[in-house]
Amino acid sequence: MASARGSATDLAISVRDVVKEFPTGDGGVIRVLDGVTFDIRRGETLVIMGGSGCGKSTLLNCLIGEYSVNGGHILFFTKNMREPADIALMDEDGLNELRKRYGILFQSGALFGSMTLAENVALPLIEHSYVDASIIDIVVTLKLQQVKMLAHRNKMPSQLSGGQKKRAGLARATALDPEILFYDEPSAGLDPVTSAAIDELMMDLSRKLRVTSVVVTHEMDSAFRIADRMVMLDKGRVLKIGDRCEFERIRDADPGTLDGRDERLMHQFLRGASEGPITDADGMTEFEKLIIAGE
Amino acid sequence: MSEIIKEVTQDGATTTVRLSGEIDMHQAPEFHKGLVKICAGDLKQLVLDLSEVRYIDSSGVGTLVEVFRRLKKKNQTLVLLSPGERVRSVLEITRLDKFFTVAESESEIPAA
Repeated sequence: MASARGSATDLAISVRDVVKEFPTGDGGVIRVLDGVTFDIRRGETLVIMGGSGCGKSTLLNCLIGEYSVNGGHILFFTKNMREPADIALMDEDGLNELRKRYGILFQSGALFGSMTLAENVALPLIEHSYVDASIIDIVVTLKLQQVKMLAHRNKMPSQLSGGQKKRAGLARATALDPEILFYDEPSAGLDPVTSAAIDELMMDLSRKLRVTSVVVTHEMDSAFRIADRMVMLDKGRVLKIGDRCEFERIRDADPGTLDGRDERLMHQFLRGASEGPITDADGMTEFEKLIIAGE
Repeated sequence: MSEIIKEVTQDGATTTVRLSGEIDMHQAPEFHKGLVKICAGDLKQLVLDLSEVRYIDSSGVGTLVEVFRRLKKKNQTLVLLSPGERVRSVLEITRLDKFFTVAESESEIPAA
């Protein structure tokens, strides 16, 4: 399977024909991911993007094992493992073991409100290692220094701004030195300066320590700043995967030179334009369909 | 002693410890115990030869800091010898390269 497409040395994750469906209220199912296939290379920063409802958050939840898939495979090529681990076939114990190898930065930072920042960052180390308390304390200092939050180490999460919570969340996500970091909308709700600072941190981790980063975002400035490669999803399928420069070409192209609906859709999304295939499917807006055609 | 600690040699007041392998959170507790035992000996300077260390994580770096503090209290010094690219990157991103004495080769090790 994935071994034919890449070796354990160059792949971090291989996503193969992933299908995810959810039940609808009327006894049917809605297919949110429909045969999604792509690879994530070791050490790269891959940005997953797409419009609302395209399936990117569902895909992230499948990648981190939060959702089970209805079809396909998600293979993790982790360090010191002979065979790739298929998250689709894992039991809870296997998933818990794999989870030690990746970190997740959730939108809110997901800190425990009853603990100080230092305690939040120390928690994964206390739970998953036998390292001496004095060394855990040093590691916490190093992690908080890395995200420039050392001065706040004894504060409670409720005393922090949104950007500070994100930084602290990143410190906790990296406490166990994960091979892979997943980011869920890391720039959402942040001012441009704080957003750029978070981007810098992510790039630092990725480039200096070769941490593989998988970022779900719809913030295009941030996406183009951090991405090595990008994946564009549309209606649960991969519309395009490629190097950042390929997406820059589509973003910056004269609309008249774009090739087909897919490129026009990507152009509209990447530029944040109000007119285009996203809002004008079949030549009519959703509003026109409702008013004129009564659909 | 520890899977990481391969050889301990003494030359006057300098003790040199040759390390090899990957220092991660699984290895760090034993590695720490081994170094604490060595630090308890009669030495003025501890040299950790990192040339064969392929990987170090934060718990490994935390161990180095703990040993550095332990030695400093007794006016002893710590020298990191020939760290590879990975170790160097970790020291850089944690800004510990500013605190540790790093020697590229044996000839650069300060006199004890």
